[in-house]
Amino acid sequence: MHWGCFSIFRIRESHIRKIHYSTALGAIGLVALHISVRFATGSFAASLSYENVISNYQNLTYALLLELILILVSVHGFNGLRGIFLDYRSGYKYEKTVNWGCFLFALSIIIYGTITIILANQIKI
Amino acid sequence: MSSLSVLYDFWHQRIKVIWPYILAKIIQSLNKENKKGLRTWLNPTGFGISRVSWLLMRISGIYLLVFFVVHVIHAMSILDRMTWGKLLFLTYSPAGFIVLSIMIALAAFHAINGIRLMLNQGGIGIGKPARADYPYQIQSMGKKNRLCIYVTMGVSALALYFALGVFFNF
Repeated sequence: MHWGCFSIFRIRESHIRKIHYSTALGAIGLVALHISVRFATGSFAASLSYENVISNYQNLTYALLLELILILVSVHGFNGLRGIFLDYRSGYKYEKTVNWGCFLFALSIIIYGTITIILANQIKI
Repeated sequence: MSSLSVLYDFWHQRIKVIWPYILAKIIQSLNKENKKGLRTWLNPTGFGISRVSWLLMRISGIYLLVFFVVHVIHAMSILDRMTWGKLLFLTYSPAGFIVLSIMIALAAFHAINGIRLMLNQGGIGIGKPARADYPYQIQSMGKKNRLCIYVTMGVSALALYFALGVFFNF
């Protein structure tokens, strides 16, 4: 049995591909919603005003949407980058470094974005 | 001496030693026979439209990932009104609008081409297996698939036109 890359969790490559596709489909829908919200609130400029963005973060549904986008796009994006790096070269040490590097980068971006969402949720205007 | 300049000196000393080694390694890898690295990676000629779509898929993926990481880091500035204002000033510049417009166009390409690839991997749209007779025809790259790639490129070009129109009001 061949255990794929992401061997830190011992997930098979075929399962990683399914995760890649499902995160892609989820991200397409949610990012389309996120972009349309920016244009639906009158003008693009008005939607990015400080008060409007803070009110977006303090809306629980929208905050959840942002968190979901953060997770889906991070997982999809860094898994894609991992694929590009693994296509470029091979080797046990190299693959291990790429797997861990992409995993840690994705995790740190998710943590960083989540901190932003939580702190912005507590701001009082 | 501040701790920041000590840190800077520490890294500067190391980078000064390491970078010629990295450069030599890159040059060495480019010169190896049958291992042309990025030169081949970035050359889409000689393999038809599918090779172009493969390259565009990768370039758009990297662009979108870089955009996403910068966007997430940029979003942290909402915690301070002044910093948010300063960074918004960058977004409202012509360069900011161009970066956003390219992002929308590449996102459209990446999404539509990605769905095509998903369907292909599921066995949809790749034709039936046939004996390889001369003149050889690639079953998986039939007319429908090629048309799909051209339509995807057209849609992303339209998305670019639309985005530029919205941002620059023409």
